[in-house]
This record gives sequence, structure tokens and C-alpha cells, in this order.
Amino acid sequence: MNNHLLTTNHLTKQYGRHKAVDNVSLHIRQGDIYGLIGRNGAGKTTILKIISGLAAPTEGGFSIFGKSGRDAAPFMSRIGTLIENPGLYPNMTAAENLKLKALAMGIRKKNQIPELLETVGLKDVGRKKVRNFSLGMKQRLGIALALVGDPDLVVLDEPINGLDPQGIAEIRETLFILNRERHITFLISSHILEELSKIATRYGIIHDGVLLEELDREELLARCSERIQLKTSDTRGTCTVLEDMGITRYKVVDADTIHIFERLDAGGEITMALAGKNIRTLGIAVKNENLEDYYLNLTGGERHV
Amino acid sequence: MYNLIRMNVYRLTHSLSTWVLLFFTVFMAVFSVVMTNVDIETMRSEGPEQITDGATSTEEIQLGITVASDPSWVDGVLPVEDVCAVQIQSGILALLCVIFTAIFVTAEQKNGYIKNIAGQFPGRIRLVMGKFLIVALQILVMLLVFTLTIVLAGKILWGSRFQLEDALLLIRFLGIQFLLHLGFCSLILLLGTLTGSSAAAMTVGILLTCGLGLPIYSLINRGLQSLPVPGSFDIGSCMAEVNIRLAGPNAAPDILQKSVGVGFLFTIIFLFLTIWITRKRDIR
Repeated sequence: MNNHLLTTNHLTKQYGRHKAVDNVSLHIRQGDIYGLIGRNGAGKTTILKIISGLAAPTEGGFSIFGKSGRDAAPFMSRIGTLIENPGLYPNMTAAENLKLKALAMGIRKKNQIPELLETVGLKDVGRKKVRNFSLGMKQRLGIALALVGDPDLVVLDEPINGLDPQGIAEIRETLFILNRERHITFLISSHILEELSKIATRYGIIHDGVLLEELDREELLARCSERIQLKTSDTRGTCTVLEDMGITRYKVVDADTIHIFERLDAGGEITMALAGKNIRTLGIAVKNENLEDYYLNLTGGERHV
Repeated sequence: MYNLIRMNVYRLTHSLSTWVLLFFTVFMAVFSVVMTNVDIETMRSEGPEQITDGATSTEEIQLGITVASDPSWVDGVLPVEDVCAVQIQSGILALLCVIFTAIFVTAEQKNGYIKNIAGQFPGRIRLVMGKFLIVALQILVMLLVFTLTIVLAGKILWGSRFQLEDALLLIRFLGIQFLLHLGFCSLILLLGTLTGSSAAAMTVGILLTCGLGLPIYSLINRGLQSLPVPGSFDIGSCMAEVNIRLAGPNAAPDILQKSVGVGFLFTIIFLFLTIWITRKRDIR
């Protein structure tokens, strides 16, 4: 059964000759915390803007709750957004900014505004004007605005920008709680991959407007798991040696590289066994990738995600 | 739609600029009445030829904000409708309406608040209509506040000499002026939406209110005269800010009819263009 809350269908956005988003098909399931990964200018924000209804795609489209085009219009109010910087009235208080959106959406639920302020850790700001807020406080208020109306999907573009480490941890915890207790699905873009890896349950990796890969947290963990990276002069002979040693969980990656996923402490033993068969060991190391390494390997290795 | 109107009313009442501009509306009304009184005193001491009469055609309009006083006011009755008319026709109120519209319309684009709500309203017509209706409401409020302040200040200054001679004439005049001010501010709505800059929209609005569009209209008229078009056509007379100056309470019926048409067309055309642009453009 298709339990996708949101899917994009060959989404393309072109500015002049430049394709900011090229044929992107995302699949976001209900309850996901979907991390959209890509370097600056990769097209993350453009995708989020299209999904949020702020920009129109050049080609393709998206469906929410299985509805697309005009049929999706009634469901757009189920999407909360924080795109780029939080849009706030600086001469108003946090509560007044929230009240504006609540009025626009026709929400008359009592106590929603104090609850939202408490959720994002701004319950004590009182009558302080937003112009006097720190960047982190504005970011929290932006998240609170995205949560007005109890949306099913919340789209957050770089939500932890400007937050201190404690603030990042608090926001992470808040998103976890909202995801688990209120079953809110999140689509989050971030260039701080370490943080994203702590909360995301699914990833989409985008590079130069193209979606390179979509994978679950479990798949990523499997791909990034600890292994021995062995480089030898003879991979065929090495495979025979490994099987003679009873090692069966290995993978030949290329002409001279093998990844071994068991007996990670048997590096010396493997080297000795290979030497006994006159196979030269060119290199042996225990590797453990994180999300950032994985992303960099996938996109060509340049830094500045 | 109702929700967006409620939101915009909340924004209007919680915006400092709204109250500052209302304060200036009152202040400018009082100032204008006081200056008219100075004019009357000047006429009394130096003769009526010192003061120019009100404009009845595009060619007679002067650059800048000018308030024309009637020589008969020196010793005779000061009709409420005429005194109110000269102040409103001067463009002072239009100036304040332009400033308000430019600030109000561009605020949510400038601070990015529009990004929080635009996605919830596919089609975006309601976003524009919500703002337009609040602009219309505020223009009406400013027009009434300006008029009432003139009446109060006039009563204080001139006492029983300041009389309402024809209430219907005053109401008709205010109705036409409301339509013209709304049409003119619809142009500012378009400019603000198009540029996203309150400064740009405000500057154009202020320059036009001060009559700096007249030399341009004159050039266009000359260009049109060189074309083989029968009759004479004055583009200036088709402009809302020009009609604000021409449509007095005692203006000829054809001028008043034209003013109603211009106000109506300006409103419809620029509102339609604003909706079209808002629908077509991505929110930045």
C-alpha cells in the first residue's frame, strides 16, 4: 500500500537556461523525518518552495495525500513552512506574529499560541518585540509559525541556523516529540549533516538539482557500517584466502579493493594469510563512514556541503 | 477571505505606521485650515488678487501641493463643502494615502511574512483582495478623519460663518474623491507588489501627487497631436491624481462623470494587474 504523504513527480524548475531542480522525484512517507541533503545552490530551497506553494514548477508536480494539481489545493493548509529566514513582523511580539497566522488560517483554538511558544521554548518572552530577539529566538519563532494549525507536514529549511549547541539540541528534541507524539511528518533541509543524521529517518541526497539517491536510515547505516577496507594485488586470490579463513561477509568494490564486514580485529591474520599465498597487501584499514563522508563520496568528494 | 480580512485588520491596528499616518491626517487637516485662514487674512489686508483660484482643467494645475482659497470667503460665508474640497483636492490626503498604501502593501514582502501564509492560499487572489480591502477601508477612514477634522477646526476658527450649505453635494464629492483616491492607491498597490519596495512605490506616488507627471502627460499629448487622430485628447485628464484636483463639488457634470470612470477603471485595471502578477510570480 502506498503510504506516501508527499511525492514529487519529475519536479523541474528552470531559471532561464539554468535548471535549479532537474527531474526530482521524492517520496516522503507519513511519519518520516526526511532530511534533504545538498550543498548550497543544490536546489534544496527551490524544492521546498515548490512543495510549500511559494514557487511554481516549470515541469512536473507533487502530490500530497495522493492529490495533485488543483485537487491538492485544500490540503496546502496542512503544510507548515519555514523557508530561508523566518518571516516576522519586527514591531510585533512573538504572540502577535503567531496570532496573525492563526487569524489567516481561521484557527480559533484557545491556548494555541501559549502552547506553541512553550513548545519552541519562547514562553517567557512576554511583550518583547521581535526586533529585539536573537537570531536563535527568531528561528524558534519561525518554527512555531510553521506549527500553527497543527499541520501534517512541516517543511523546514535550515531550521537550526543561528542556534547555539543547546538550542540545536532543544529543537532536535522538540522535532522528535512532535514527530512521535503528534505524528507530524518533517521535511528538513540542512547543511549540518551531523545534526541531520541524529534525527532523520530518511534521506534524499541532491546535487546540482538532481536527486542522486533516496535511502532510509537503516540503509544508510548499513552502507556506512564499520568494515575492513583491503587493497591487494590480486582480488580473486584474496577472495579464496578469505573464504579459506571462513570470512564470507565481504564485497569486492573495485579491481583492487575489498570491503570485509566481519572479524574487524583480524587485520593482521588476513595480511599473514595473504603473504602466505604470495599476495601483496597494498593497504588495510578499518573504515567507518558518517553521513558527511557518505555524502562527499557520493557527490564527488568536495567539501562545503 | 474573511480570515485574511481579519488578519489584515489585526495587522492594520497593530501597525505603528497606521496610527502615525492618522495622526498626520489630523495634523495636516488642522494645518491646512489654519493656512486657509492665513490666506483669508492676507486677502483681507492685501486684496484678493494675491490668491489663485482652483483649477478647472489640466493646464491650470500647478506643480506641488497648493490650496486655493475663494476671495468670497473674506467676509462672506465659508461653505463646509468648499473648504473641505480645496483641502482634499490639493493632494495632501492623497499623499498620506500613498504613504500608507506603500508601507502596508510591501510590509509582508519585505519582512518575508508572506512566506508563512502564501502557500495556504493557492491562487493568491485572496491575498491581494485582503490587502486591497484594507487599503480601501483605511482610505475611507483617512478621508472621513480628514474631513471631520477640517469641520471641527473650521468651526473653531470661523464659528457661524462656517456653514454646511448642501450635505448631498459634500457626500457626492467625498464619494467621488474616495473612488479617485482608491484608484490612485491601486496604482501604488501594483507598484509595491511589482517592486517589493515601499520607497519606489512611495516616490512615484508622491511625485505624481505633486503634479510631476504633468510634463510627461504634456509630452505624450504633443506626440498624440502629431498623429492623425481626430479631436483633441488629453491623457492627463485620464489620470486619477489629476482628477483628484479637478473633481470639485461644483465641477461640471462631464468632469465628475469622467472622474468616476477614471477612479473605477484605475481601481479595476491595477487591481487586476496586481492579482495577475502575484499569481504568476514566485514568492521570494
